Amino acid sequence: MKVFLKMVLLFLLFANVFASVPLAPRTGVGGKIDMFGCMQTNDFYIANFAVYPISQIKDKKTTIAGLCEDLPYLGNAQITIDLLDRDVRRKPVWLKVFDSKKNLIAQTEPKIEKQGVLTTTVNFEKQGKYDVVLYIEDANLNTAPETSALHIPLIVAMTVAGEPQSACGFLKIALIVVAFAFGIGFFVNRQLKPKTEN
Amino acid sequence: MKMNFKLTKMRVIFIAFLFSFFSQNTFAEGVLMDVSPKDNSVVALNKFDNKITLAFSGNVSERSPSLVVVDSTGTRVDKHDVQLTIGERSILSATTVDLAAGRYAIRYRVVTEDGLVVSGICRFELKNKEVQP
Repeated sequence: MKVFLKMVLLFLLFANVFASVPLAPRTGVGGKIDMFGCMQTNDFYIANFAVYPISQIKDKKTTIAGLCEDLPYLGNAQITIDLLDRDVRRKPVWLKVFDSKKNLIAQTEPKIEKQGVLTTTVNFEKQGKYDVVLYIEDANLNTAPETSALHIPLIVAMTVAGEPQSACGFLKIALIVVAFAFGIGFFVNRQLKPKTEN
Repeated sequence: MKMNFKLTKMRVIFIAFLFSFFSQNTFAEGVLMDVSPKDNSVVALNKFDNKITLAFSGNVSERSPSLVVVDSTGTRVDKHDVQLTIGERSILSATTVDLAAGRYAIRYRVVTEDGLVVSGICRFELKNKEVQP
């Protein structure tokens, strides 16, 4: 019976853990980790954004980790946008990247991305705030692409790379959850032990 | 001994049931169940109450719901007042300005607790004349 109760308890713990792990977390501005990846939305569209420093991709010893809206390095970086709206994968999409003075520094040609992933490489030569804009030619809506465009803010080389602040907090929460689970396990185990009569 | 074996077997079945039951509930996808006005429907202008309503099943979350209504030129005609009521059937709704006869498109989106996106487009047409059901 004890084993049975332990298994049920274990199951419930696992069910709760699985229920709270959605997309791969990505590090955002100020080291903030978003457990939903890096979802970017406006009233029309939704996409998941990631930026990878090219140096990280080429270095086989480094673990590749997608960054969200905060790129701590200058130089070449790969921008990746997952088109989460399925219908958008059948429509022409393109990207433009503007610096803080609205100068166009990179763009892609309109193209249907059947796989739902739009990527391009951008050379960020100066630190500052950038605007990554996703345009969609939506024949179903007839809305001008400029009106429905999804704007993604990106800051470059304005923060120090390293251990994000909230990663420490995240670790603390994980430790508390683990300690709590062990506590419950210990308590249940004690309750199930046959009481010795004096 | 035989009794113990039966009980153990029953426990295994019970745990298997728990796994199957909870896994279905935990990862239930959001599905669009109903939309008003119906997709590709023609509605009499005097019967349209300026309200768009969509019903979803599944574990819809409060994260980033959206409902946009545009006319045939792509101009927004909703009042930017999207509301999401989460329940067994989650209701996504918005109201529109007074509309003229013509074709309209609805772009909707909800995100489930698991991070799955349920989005798409529905269309309807408003006509001045009485519409045959």
